Formats: sequence, C-alpha cells, structure tokens
Amino acid sequence: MTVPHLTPSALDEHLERSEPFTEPVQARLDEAEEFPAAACLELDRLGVPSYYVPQALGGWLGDYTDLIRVIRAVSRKDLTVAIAHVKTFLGGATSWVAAEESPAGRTGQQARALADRIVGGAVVSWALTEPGRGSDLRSGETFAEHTPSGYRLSGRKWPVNNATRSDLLTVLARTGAGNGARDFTLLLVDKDTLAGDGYEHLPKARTLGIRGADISGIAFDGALVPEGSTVGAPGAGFELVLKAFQLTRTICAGLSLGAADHALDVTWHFVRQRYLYGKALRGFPHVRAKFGELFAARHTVEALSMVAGRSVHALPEEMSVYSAVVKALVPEIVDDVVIGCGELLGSRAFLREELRSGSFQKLERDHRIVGIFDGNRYVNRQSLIRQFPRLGTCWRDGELRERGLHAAVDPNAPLPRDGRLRMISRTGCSLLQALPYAVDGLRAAGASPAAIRSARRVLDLCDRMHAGFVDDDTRTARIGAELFDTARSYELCVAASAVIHTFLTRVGRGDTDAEFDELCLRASLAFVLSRLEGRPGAREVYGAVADALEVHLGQADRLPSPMDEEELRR
Amino acid sequence: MSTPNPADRVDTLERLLGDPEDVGNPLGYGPLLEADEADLMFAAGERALDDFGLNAEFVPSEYGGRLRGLDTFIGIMRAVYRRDPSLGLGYGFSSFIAGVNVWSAGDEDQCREAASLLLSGQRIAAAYHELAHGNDFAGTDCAAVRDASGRLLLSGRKEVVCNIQRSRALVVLARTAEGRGSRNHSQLLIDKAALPPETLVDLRRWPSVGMRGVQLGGMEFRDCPVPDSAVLGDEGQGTETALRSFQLTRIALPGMLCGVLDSGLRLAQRLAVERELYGAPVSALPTVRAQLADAFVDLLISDCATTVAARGVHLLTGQSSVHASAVKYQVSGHLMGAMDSLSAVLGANFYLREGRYGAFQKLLRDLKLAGFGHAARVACLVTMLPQMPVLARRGWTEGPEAPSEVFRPDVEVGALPFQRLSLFGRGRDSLLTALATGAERMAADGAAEGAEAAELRTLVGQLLDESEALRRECALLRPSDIGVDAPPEVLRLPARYAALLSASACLNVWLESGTRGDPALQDPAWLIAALHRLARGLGHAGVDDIGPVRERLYSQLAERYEAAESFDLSRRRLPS
Ligand SMILES: Cc1cc2nc3c(=O)[nH]c(=O)nc-3n(C[C@H](O)[C@H](O)[C@H](O)COP(=O)(O)OP(=O)(O)OC[C@H]3O[C@@H](n4cnc5c(N)ncnc54)[C@H](O)[C@@H]3O)c2cc1C
Ligand SMILES: Cc1cc2nc3c(=O)[nH]c(=O)nc-3n(C[C@H](O)[C@H](O)[C@H](O)COP(=O)(O)OP(=O)(O)OC[C@H]3O[C@@H](n4cnc5c(N)ncnc54)[C@H](O)[C@@H]3O)c2cc1C
Repeated sequence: MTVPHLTPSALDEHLERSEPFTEPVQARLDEAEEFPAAACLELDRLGVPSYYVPQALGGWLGDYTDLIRVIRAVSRKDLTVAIAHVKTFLGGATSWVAAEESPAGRTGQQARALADRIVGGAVVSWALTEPGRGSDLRSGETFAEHTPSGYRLSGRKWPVNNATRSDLLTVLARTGAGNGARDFTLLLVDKDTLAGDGYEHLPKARTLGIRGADISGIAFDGALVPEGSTVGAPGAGFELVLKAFQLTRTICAGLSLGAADHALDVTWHFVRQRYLYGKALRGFPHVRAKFGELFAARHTVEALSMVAGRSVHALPEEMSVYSAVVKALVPEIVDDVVIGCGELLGSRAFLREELRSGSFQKLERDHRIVGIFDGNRYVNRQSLIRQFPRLGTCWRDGELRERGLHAAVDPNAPLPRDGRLRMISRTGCSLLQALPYAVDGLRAAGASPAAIRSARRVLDLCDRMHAGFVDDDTRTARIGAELFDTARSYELCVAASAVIHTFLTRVGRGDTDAEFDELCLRASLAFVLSRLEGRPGAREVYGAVADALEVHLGQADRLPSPMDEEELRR
Repeated sequence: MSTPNPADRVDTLERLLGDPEDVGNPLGYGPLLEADEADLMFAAGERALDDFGLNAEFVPSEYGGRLRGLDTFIGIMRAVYRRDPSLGLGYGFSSFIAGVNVWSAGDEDQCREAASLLLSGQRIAAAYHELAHGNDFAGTDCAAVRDASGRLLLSGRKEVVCNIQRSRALVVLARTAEGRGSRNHSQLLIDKAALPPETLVDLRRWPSVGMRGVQLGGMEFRDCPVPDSAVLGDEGQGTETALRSFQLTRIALPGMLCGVLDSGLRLAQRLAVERELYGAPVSALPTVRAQLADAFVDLLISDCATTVAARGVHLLTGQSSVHASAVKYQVSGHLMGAMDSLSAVLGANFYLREGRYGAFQKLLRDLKLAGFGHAARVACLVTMLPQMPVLARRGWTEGPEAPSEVFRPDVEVGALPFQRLSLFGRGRDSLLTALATGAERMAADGAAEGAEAAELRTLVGQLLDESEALRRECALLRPSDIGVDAPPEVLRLPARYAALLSASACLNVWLESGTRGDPALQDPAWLIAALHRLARGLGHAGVDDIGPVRERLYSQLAERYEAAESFDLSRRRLPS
C-alpha cells in the first residue's frame, strides 16, 4: 500500500485543521446544496477508503470499532460528508460478507477487485430501495433476467445515496417470481461496463438535511450486466443483505456519536460564554443538570456502540441482536440529545448564521436521516421482536458465551477472529444475559450504593420483561404497538449492561479517573432508568457530572470520551 | 360595521385559502414551499390575507377592528398556521404583540393611532429583543435618554425582530433608567415616517432554519429624537406592560401553532392510507395507528389547554399570568413531541423537501419556534415559580369556582380586558381547582359508564393525588428556591402544575361537552387517552391497557380525515 496507515485519532486531528471541513465552508455548501467534493477528496487523499475494506482484502479494516471511530471523527466535523463518503462501505459490505463465506473462487476474486477499486477511490452505492416501497424490500420489482451473456436489468432504485456519483452499485434485484427470500439476487453493477447503455440517473432529491449529498436514483432499462456480476450465489441476495445489515447498522453508530460530540461541543462552549441575568449559563443549576444528562446519554450510547463494534469479532453469531439494538436506539437517543442541546441554545439553534456559522442547525437536520436509512427503528425493533422468544429462553437459561463476551466488553482483550454472522442468534444476547453477574460485581468494583440500586432496578425490569417474551405475540404478521415499546426497553437494558461492563473493565486499571468513571456509571444508569420508567427520577447526579466536567476540562474544549481514551492508550 | 360571527370568519378564511394539498391551488403547499425555499414571505398568501383584512383581527372592536375573544382570534389565525406558519407569524403576529401592549398601556390617542395604522394595512413591529440579552429583559441596553433640552433620544440596537424593516411603526422597549431594576425600562410607540431617517438604520437580515420567510431584521437607533407622546403609559412601566401583555401572546402562540400539528397529522394519515407496505396500507400497522392516535391526543390536550387559558383571560380576571406560562410550557412540549413522533411515521418522506408530503418538514422546522420563541420553556417555569407557594397555600384549596363558560368554546366571550391583566394572581387559581370540582361532578353525573367510568376514576384519582402532592411540596418552597437559580427539582414543580392544569382543562371541556351534545367530544375515549398521557408524563401508572382506546381514537381520526374535518376541538369542515 502506498498511503501510510492512518489512525482514527490522527484523522481526527487532521480534520481539525482541514480547510474543506471548516464551518463556513460547510455552511456555504449546505446552503447551495452543493456536494462536499473537496472534503471527500481530502478523505480519499488521507486513505480513509481503506477503512471500508477488510484487511483480508488489502484494506485497513480490522477492528470494527476503528471504523466506528473513523466515521465518528468525520461526523463530528461534518455529517453530510460522513454520510456521503461512508456510503461506499455500505456499497461494499455484501461483497465482504460473501467473500468471508466463500473466500476462494469467483466470489473472492470479485471482492478483491472491488476492494482495489475502493482503496483507489471508487464510489460504491447500495441500491436496495425502490420508489413507493420503502422498507418492504421483498416487494421490489427491479428484475434481473438471466440471459446467455449475463443479466438484463430493469427497474428503478430510489432514493439512493450517491446513485449518480457512484462508479459501481450493488443492486438488489428480483430473479424469481415469488417473494421468498431466495427470489432475490445481488448484482455488482459497474457503470463503466454498461458504457452508458440501459440506464439513466434520476434527479437529486431535495432533502431536509445533508442537502449537499447526492441523494438520487437510477433507472435501469434493460441494462446488460455481464455474467459473473452476482455478489455471492444467485438467490442469495436477501440473506447477504440481512447479514451485511448487521455490519452496516452497527457502524452507523459512528454517525450518531459524531453528531452527539459536535452538538455537545457547541453547547458546552455556549453555556460557558453566554451571560444572562448577570452570569454565565453554566452557573444555572438547571443548565448544569441538563448538560450532565445529555453527557450521560452520550456516555450510554458510546458504551453500547463500542461493545457492539467489538462484538462483530467477539460475538459475531449474536450480531443480529446487537446491530438491531444499536440502529434502533442510538440514533433515537442522539436525536434527543441534539434536541436537548437545541433547547439550551435557544434561538441560536434556529438562526442559520449565528454561532459557528449555524453549524448546529445543520447537524440537527443532518442527523435526522440516521434513524431512517439503512433500516428505520421499526424494522430493527421488528427484527428484535421476532427474536424475543429465543431471547427469553436464553435469559432464563443464563446462556453465556463467556470468552466472546469478555473480548467484547474489554478493549484490552485480544480480538478473536473466528465465528460467522448468523441470521438469528441462537445464544441470544450474552451481553444482557451476563447482567446479573455484572451487577454482582459492582460493589467490589467500588460502585456507589446509588449506582448499585439503579443497576438492580434494571435487573428486576429485565426479569419481568423476559418473562413476557412468548412465542405467539411475535408470530403475527402485524406486531402490536406495545411490543415496540418492549423492544425499546430491551435495547435500553442492553445499553445499561454495556455501561456496567465497560465500567467494570476500567476498574483498577490505574490509568483512568476512577471517580469520574463511577460518576458516569451512576449518571448513565440514572439516564437509562428514567427512560425505562418514563419519569425524570433523581437529577442531582447530572449536576455532579457537569461539575466534574468542568474540573476535568479546565479550558479544554473536548469532552472526555472512553472511546477516545482507549484509542490514545493504544 | 357589521362583523360576521367568528365561525363564519374562519370559514371565509379557510375558503379563501383553499385546500393546501390541492396542487392547482395558488395558495397551496406547492407555491408556499417555493417561497420558503427562497427565504421569502409567501406573497400570494399575504395578498389573500390583505383581502381578508386580517389586520382588523388584531384591533379591538372598540377601535374599529374585529378583535374580541382571544380564543376566536386563535381560531382564525390557526387557519393560517395550518398552511404556512411563516405566513401566520410574518404577516402580522408582531403587529398583534405590539398592539396588545398599546391596548394595555397606551392612552386614547396612541390606541387610535395604532388602530388606524393597522386598519390601513400597515404593520407595527415589536422590538424587544437584543442578541446580547435574549430572555433577560432587565438587561435591555437600548436606551432613551433625555438630552440637555429634555428631548428623549433613543440609541442602541434591536436585533432579530420580525418585520422591523417593513413596518410603519415600532413598539420599542428601551432603558430609561440605569440598573437592573424592574422599573428601568419604558415602551415607546414610534412612527418611523415621522422621524429623521438617518437616525433609524436597518441592520442585516437574520436567516433562520424554520420560519424561513419571516423577515428577521434589526435596527440601530442613532440618537433618534422621540416625542414624549411616544411613551406608552408611565415612564418606567415598560417591563411590566410587556409582561402583562405577554400573557395574551404566550397563550395565543401555542394556540395558533396547534394548526401545525393539525396539518402534520393530516399528512401523516395521508401517507398511512396511501402508502402500501407488506401488502397492505401502512395504516394496517398497529404501531403506526398508535402513534397517530397519540399525536391526535396531543393535539386535543393542546387545544383544550390553550382554549381554556384563552377564555380564562376573559372570565377569570387577573388569574392568567400563571396560566399563560403554563400553557406555553406544556403545549409547546406536546406539539413538538407529536410532530417528532409523526416524522418517524412518515419515514423517508419526512426527509424530502418535495413530493406529496414535502410540506411536513417545513411544518416541523417552523414549529421549533414554539420552544424558545417568545420566552424559553424554562423561562416560563421560572416565571411561574414565585406564584407556586401562594397558590399552594390558598389558591388550590379555596379558589373561586370557574364559571362553566370557561370550558365551553361554543359560548362567545366579550371584549378582552386589557386593563385588568395582572402580573400576580393574588393567590387565586380557578383552573386547577376545577380538577377537583370536575372530578366530583364526574362522579355525581355518571357521564361515563362501565369500564370507561372506572378508567376515568383511576386516572382522575392519580391526578388528584399528584395535585395534592404538588400542593404540599409547593407550600414548603422557600424564597431562596425561587428565581433563575432554582434547582431542577424545584423547576419540576411548575412543570407538574402545567400538566395538571392541562388535565383539568381536558376533563372540564369533556364534562361541558355533554351539555351541548357534541358527539365527537362526548365519547370519553379522547379524555381517557389524554388523562393517561398526562398521568404517565407525571410518573403515574395511567390505565392498564390503553390499546383499545388508542384504536378507537385512531378510527375517529380516520373518520375525520375522510370527512376532511380538522382534528382539533372545533372539528371544522375544511376545504377539499
Ligand atoms: C437521504 C436518504 C438516503 C437514502 N439512501 C439509500 C441508499 O443509499 N440505498 C437504499 O437502498 N435506500 C436508501 N434510502 C432509502 C431508505 O433506506 C428507506 O427510505 C428506509 O429504509 C425506509 O423506508 P421509508 O422510510 O420510506 O419507510 P417505509 O418503509 O415506507 O415505512 C413507512 C412507515 O411505516 C412504518 N413501518 C415501516 N416498517 C414497519 C415495521 N416493520 N413495523 C412497524 N412499522 C413499520 C413506519 O412508521 C415507517 O416510517 C435513503 C433514504 C433517504 C431519505
Ligand atoms: C422567528 C423569530 C421571530 C422573532 N420575532 C421577534 C420579534 O418580533 N420581536 C422581538 O423582540 N424578538 C423577536 N425574536 C427574538 C426572540 O424573542 C428571541 O430569540 C427569544 O427571546 C429567545 O432568546 P434566545 O433564544 O436568544 O435565548 P437566551 O435568552 O439567550 O437563552 C438561552 C438559553 O438560556 C436559558 N434561559 C433563558 N432564560 C432563562 C431563565 N429565565 N431561566 C433559566 N434559564 C434561562 C434557556 O435554556 C435558553 O434556551 C424572534 C426570533 C425568531 C427566531
């Protein structure tokens, strides 16, 4: 490889000084709905596309939490750029899954060729959605008719990120007449080989946020796709997509985390310099409590995202659970974090040119898409709900993949490299199933009585919740509204378990601030409980978080984050 | 001049503006979205409102306008906000705000001047805000100082003020004495045309993410000579006048913004019935129906709360200061929460600025103003706080009973009592008291039956417990707890009050609806759902299974949608 390896933190530092990432530039492009080409080029130049390619295929992607970090670093600067650029990972993901399942032969070759193209800067789209059909991928009507020389492709894909700018697209097309899983095939369509024939681009859609991004579409009209373009086997399209979702939905956390970072940074700065009624806003108890709560929310989703990222390696068989939990919960909580920051910013979250070139109002609009694309919260909750009966059994049996779990929660543990993604997790959710043990370990680890009480409440709730997981509810075609609420509770419990496990692995290490860690634990559990129980609960702890942050940070701007720290330590 | 009755006026305006979803309508979503994209006021919309003579709605009838009932005013404006909140705000809400200050504190000449200006179709800007001070009025720097010859000279800047450039006159809040005291500012009504132009310098425009068409500008005053006759009321009375007047405008704003949720619901239901997913309409998904039903309930709670508070201004003289802040706080929360939840129902279609549902994202952006505009939500809580202990000790146990007309939007109220607005309720609060009297009445007349009656009893029981707990806690408040420094638990108290006030409004509107045979409102489903939602928000259990009630509400919503009726209390037939 010619480009030197770039760590996520080096990227982060670099972007801090990069002209195309400055706020006035972003604001101008956003207003003009112009594609952030210079910023994307800069990421290409830095080698970021190599992170979209697994190491086995010549890229830099080893630990998935590194990919989350990279995405987070870009998102923290400009979510539009992140969404526009990272899309290529989504475009490639089904090929990586296919190549992992059968590394030899055509599939492996095809993946390696795609990998080279991506490392070289090619843009790849993932074209699943069709106009008017949304989440219901099985109703798709893009046909790929097998001909002696390959496939004749017809149909419309819209809206699709980078549909116009992309060099290649991974297209989900119907090769069978029914709507069974095996009626669909993935085609890797190279626009070069189509030579402009049989397709046209659909115009850019005007969107609420990511205004500069290329959200457009593509209409195929008898395009001839050469033989050997299928990703995996014919008929394997659906399964590959669902498995790839387990990766893509997990790394979407990076988009939300970066947005949360950005929102909190802007807000933290604002409450320190805005004076009202004769003092800085940060001096008002309600402002401190609110900010502490928002920080605790981010801490919660950060812990969840880190464990989920490591689970790609450590507990791949359980990714059907973690990916759904992350994609349903993280964007939802971060949307609320952003709203909460907006409430503190007041009119400055509304005026397009005040306060850092209006970067906050841009990020607020931008982030709203994260909960919608690549599977909205309903689709993810539905896939969790379908697993409830199994999850209930595993909870009662105390099923645990101990080694995997250990590697998933401890950033210092070596990452295993075995195991495969599965459509359904047979061992449920080890992270949650280990909660009783983790709670037992809290006292010895120096957790406060308040934290332990909260943790026990989460545990009680888990018992009650799992007892209600019965088969009949989830088999019905139209799942009741209450089950979606239960799914959210489930996600929150998984997040709480991630928070607790993260705390436990940091204890006694000597290189962390034990007091601050404990405070974050307490605040995050308070946050999760307030969500689970639907009432505000005790808020003193949030004020304490804000106080500690002030001590912690002094005049520094960057709010502490365990994920950042872990990387710096390496 | 004969004034058609309010309901007819709303119908006339609705007809004039037509069906916003009709693609052939020059006043519909298509053209108004274009104006929004271009950061422009919707010109065709403004012309239509000129034709309707909307400005007359801002002027009290005694000065030749059509303004009488505050709830009527809200109802008329809702017809505009339903389509284009920027038009609603930018056409003349600031004229209304400025006007209210004039009608409350101005002398006869000032009132006549303001009225004739508005009735001739011109605007008055309400220039209070300065970027450096935001919600903190006492910090206002813009100053009117007397020079050696005794002339008042105005200097300083007003920023982010609606229509300041294109208005004919301004009401300006200016410092007339040093310091942070409450009697250091005065309001001035100035006619721009009568002053030397070089002393009034327009500042740049502030573009915004929502309400994009609204012209937010600023003005720098450079030793602008202001006649003494410009001072509204007495010198030093400016802040008090503003805070008294804002009672009306803080009720009106969320009341009008209910129109946004009304349209948001219509767009979401439209998608739910038009779009197919998994072989059936999206509306076949129970979670979609549940979210639509919940948003419908949010709208009904919001309408009950603002309608009752608006009628309270007329019928519960002097009590409105706390009600206004409560309603601004509570209703903005319901409206924004409901629209966020509906955005999830719309999915990708919510994210598009074009297509069949392209208006939704604009409504959502525009609605953001509900949170911080015209007082931050938390500032509302801080405003209410000082009254809480007094009300706890007397108001909530011995408050005078509210006349039943407060809860009957069908009965017209008289003119607005501008001079009797009071900053302090003197310990009276008939609206929260009405929660208990309503509960007794419900038990006595058996308006609901069977399982529903039991559910209502459960809910009302929880709310009364809450109200009792609140009373005890508020009575214990110390003076040091009260103020901008209040800790978050203390600020929860007025927030809890606001929820209970809304519950009381819903309960009593429902009870009164029995007397006028409004079948839509008589069905207790909405009340159960509303009280459940409020009780849950307060940390109570609510009822065990809200599922069936939600389903029933969804059918009612679907019926209204089919019949092209509004989703608020008025259940008005809309143009289609
Ligand atoms: C900016 C942008 C970029 C995009 N990029 C791409 C891309 O690159 N490639 C691509 O293929 N697609 C892309 N999409 C499409 C996107 O992935 C789909 O829009 C999304 O997956 C869901 O479809 P929908 O939002 O249209 O909702 P629908 O699936 O039509 O759902 C409508 C509503 O029905 C309800 N609902 C749906 N499913 C369920 C369920 N299972 N249970 C309960 N309720 C449910 C929800 O309320 C939902 O909001 C993009 C979309 C946008 C806006
Ligand atoms: C569309 C639009 C139209 C407008 N029209 C007009 C107009 O016609 N005339 C006019 O004068 N102004 C107008 N304004 C300005 C508007 O009044 C101010 O933006 C508004 O008062 C809020 O100030 P701020 O958000 O800057 O908040 P700030 O006061 O700076 O508040 C920032 C944060 O501080 C906290 N805070 C504020 N007050 C308190 C408190 N009392 N206690 C505790 N915490 C508090 C809150 O968290 C708040 O969000 C308009 C603004 C917009 C966007």
